[in-house]
Amino acid sequence: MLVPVLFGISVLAFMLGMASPGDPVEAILNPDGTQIIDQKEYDIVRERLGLDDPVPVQYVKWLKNALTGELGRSFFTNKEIKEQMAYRLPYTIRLACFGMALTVVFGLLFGILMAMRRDGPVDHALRFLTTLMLSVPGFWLAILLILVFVEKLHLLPTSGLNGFSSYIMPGITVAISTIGVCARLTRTSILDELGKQYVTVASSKGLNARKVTMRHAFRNSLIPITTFLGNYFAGILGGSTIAEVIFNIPGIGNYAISAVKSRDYYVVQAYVLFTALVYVVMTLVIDLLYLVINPKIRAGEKIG
Amino acid sequence: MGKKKKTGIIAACILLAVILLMSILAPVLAPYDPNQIDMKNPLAMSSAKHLLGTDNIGRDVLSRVMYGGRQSILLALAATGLSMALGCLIGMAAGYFGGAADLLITSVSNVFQGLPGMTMMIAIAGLMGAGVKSMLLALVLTSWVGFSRLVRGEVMKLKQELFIEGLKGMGAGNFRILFMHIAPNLLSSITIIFATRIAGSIMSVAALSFLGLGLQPPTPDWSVMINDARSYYRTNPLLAVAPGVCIVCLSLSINIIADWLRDRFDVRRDSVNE
Amino acid sequence: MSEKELGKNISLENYNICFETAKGKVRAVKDVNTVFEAGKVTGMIGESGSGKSVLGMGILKLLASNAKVEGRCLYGDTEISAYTEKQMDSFRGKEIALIPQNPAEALDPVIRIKKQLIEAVTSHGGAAKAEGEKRYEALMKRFGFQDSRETGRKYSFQMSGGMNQRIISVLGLMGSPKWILADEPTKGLDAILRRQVYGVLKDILCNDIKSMIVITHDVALARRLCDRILVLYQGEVLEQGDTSSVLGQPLHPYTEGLVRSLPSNGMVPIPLPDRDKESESKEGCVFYPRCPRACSRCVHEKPGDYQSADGRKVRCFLYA
Repeated sequence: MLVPVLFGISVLAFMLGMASPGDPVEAILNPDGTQIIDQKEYDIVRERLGLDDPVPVQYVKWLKNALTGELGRSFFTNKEIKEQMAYRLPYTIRLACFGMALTVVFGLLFGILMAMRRDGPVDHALRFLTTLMLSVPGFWLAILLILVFVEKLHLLPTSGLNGFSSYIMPGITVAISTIGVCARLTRTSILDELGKQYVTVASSKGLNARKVTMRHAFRNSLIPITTFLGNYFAGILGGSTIAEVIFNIPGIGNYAISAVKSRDYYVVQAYVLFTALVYVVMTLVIDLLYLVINPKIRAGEKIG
Repeated sequence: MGKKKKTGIIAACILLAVILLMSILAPVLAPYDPNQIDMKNPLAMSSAKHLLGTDNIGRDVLSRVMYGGRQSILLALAATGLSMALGCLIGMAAGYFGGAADLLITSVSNVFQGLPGMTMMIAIAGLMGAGVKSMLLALVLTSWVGFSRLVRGEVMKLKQELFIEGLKGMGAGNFRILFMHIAPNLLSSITIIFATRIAGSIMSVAALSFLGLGLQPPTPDWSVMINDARSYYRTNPLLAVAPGVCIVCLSLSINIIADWLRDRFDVRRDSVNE
Repeated sequence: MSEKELGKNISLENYNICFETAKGKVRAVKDVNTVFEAGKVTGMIGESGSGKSVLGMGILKLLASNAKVEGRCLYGDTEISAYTEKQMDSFRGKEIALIPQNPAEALDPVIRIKKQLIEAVTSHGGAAKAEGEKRYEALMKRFGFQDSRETGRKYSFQMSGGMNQRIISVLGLMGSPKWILADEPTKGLDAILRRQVYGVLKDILCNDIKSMIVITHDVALARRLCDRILVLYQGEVLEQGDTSSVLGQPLHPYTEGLVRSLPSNGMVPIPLPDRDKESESKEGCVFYPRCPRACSRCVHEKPGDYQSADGRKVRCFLYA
């Protein structure tokens, strides 16, 4: 199932490039639109970029290159995209992982609290809070955070990357809505499990409500929660773009945005392919995690 | 429980109504032209003349806030409506005809699901040029799958329940069965996702416009205003705070209403309450 | 045997359970007055939906959160219906343990069998781990699991239906309770497994626990296993008394119908409710629409629990 998805996305990424209205040759030779282009020079560049080949050939060439990590050069800076990505990737990954950690910790915590205090004041308050978290745009929250923690309280650095503290605000920006979604999903999953018979039986053994929820219902609800979190990691990577732009983090999201504005379509393609790759990797990681949390799959593996 | 929920949903409806009225009536209510520049009076703090102050080129912030939802609300509605239409048609086709059509549609939607929405939107909006048209396309492309998945599943279920073979035997055509017998049964679940997606679309429109990929300055739009304010909000925080509060109120009220709809009409959730 | 081993009587006084649902209040158990005597096996029989399982779970206070209980449930002299959740935690499994229905769904699918079983001992605190291990080994052997270590490492979905059935019987006994509440032990089982379950329950009665409540729709099982019988219909106990008299010479028209519907008695079905009678009134006897011996009084008036000559209680005007 993964291979066709990856193939489809790569075609899409490639087609997006084809659909681009800008002429890359012109963009290279005439970036500010003032020069008169020599036809011969134009043809040479066109040839060099392989733009004369039929489209499927271009696709295969491009894909072959992409698979070997040759993502081409940026039209504008003429820098190797591969090197740029390698330089920028750690920032984005660090940010995404931090956002993910926040999502897991607070999402699960809020979700468990809501499920255990179902229909009580804690549940109501947290349900409102999580709905609010879903409704706050990350970029606006980022500005509020800067206003409060940088301008008023002078607690955190605005931009630049000086260790952990500089990731706090971007991390919150990235994670805010996923925490909300995760908490609500955790709540429903646990409540679903609490309605099942094995939970009643666990209570009949004399286990208290907290232990029943944590040891039994929560452990079972981890199965749907993990699926969700895996899907969201790729989403967080996408959402990190906004945080990168606001907090001046030189990650790939920032790279993609500036490429988008200058129609640097090799870079955008590389970005799209990269996110697809993350999706695929995360799907595999989830499959591995299932082995840990879902004994049914583990048992199936042993027999098969 | 019931009472608290009721006050919540009523408050959300009122809030939504206020924001919608403010946006619709902006030309009547706004004290100034939202694009009227007054270079003699930039970055004014709030005063009787300008309740929320002015921005860096002296435009009245209150008037801009009043106008600021018009475009994005319309865009979000249009995007969600189009994805609903597209998704429902595709989903109905997949669920009803099954077989090869279903396989093809399912694989295509898998591809669309593989790409995180934000990435897709950045790619499309950027490559086709930043602007309203490409934003709309990007939003539709990323959200039709949600509708088609649901509709496909429901149609497959209904096909069994409605004794389609019997209807066919009575001479009903595929078209008639789909639109007369199946479509009415989908209404409640489509309404629920529509409400949820609208809130999502508003957030996406806001994010894209903020990144400069959607609505462009000098459009009086909440996200554009927040982006414009990035260099000036230290002087007048209201420049960034006021439009943000509007976005939050709008999507919060819609989210609360969507939740309420889901609690009320989603049969699946009922089992939790038993 | 002393009270220490037998436990105490469980008595229900004007006991009612209703559920608040989206469609309104549903009364699942109505005005039950009875005593489950320690040292005896009491069977609760009735069709599905008669409220017998709800009543059993009500005693253990394991009902869904939308359930509302009225009346009292006493254990000896203490009112357990007034117990806090915390008090119930140390009561469940220790005084009354449950042998649940649907063994396949009664066990947590992601936790190993042994861990789940030992939890029934450790949940009551103390240095119980070692004790739990010992009890686990002994009980597993007794219930036919020779390799208790290997079985304990398995998950419920790796076991057959019959094995899971025995596992949950072990589960009920793990906490050394005074009472066992067996909920539909033969539901959905084939004849062979039904015989196995009967054997297991009989074994428990001979060797471990004398006080038991068996909830079942299986009249044959109830006849063989129980000392006393409660007959439930639509949430009401229509007849209660010693097994031999209740099933031997049934008094209530419903019990009579139930006994006659047994395969050994010719499988005469109880007539379906009469539509006209059903719409006449909601206040009368619950069995009125199906009752072959109904009189005019049954339409609008609820019968009380009337004592018969041999000490049975029957909720029917014929014995008023």
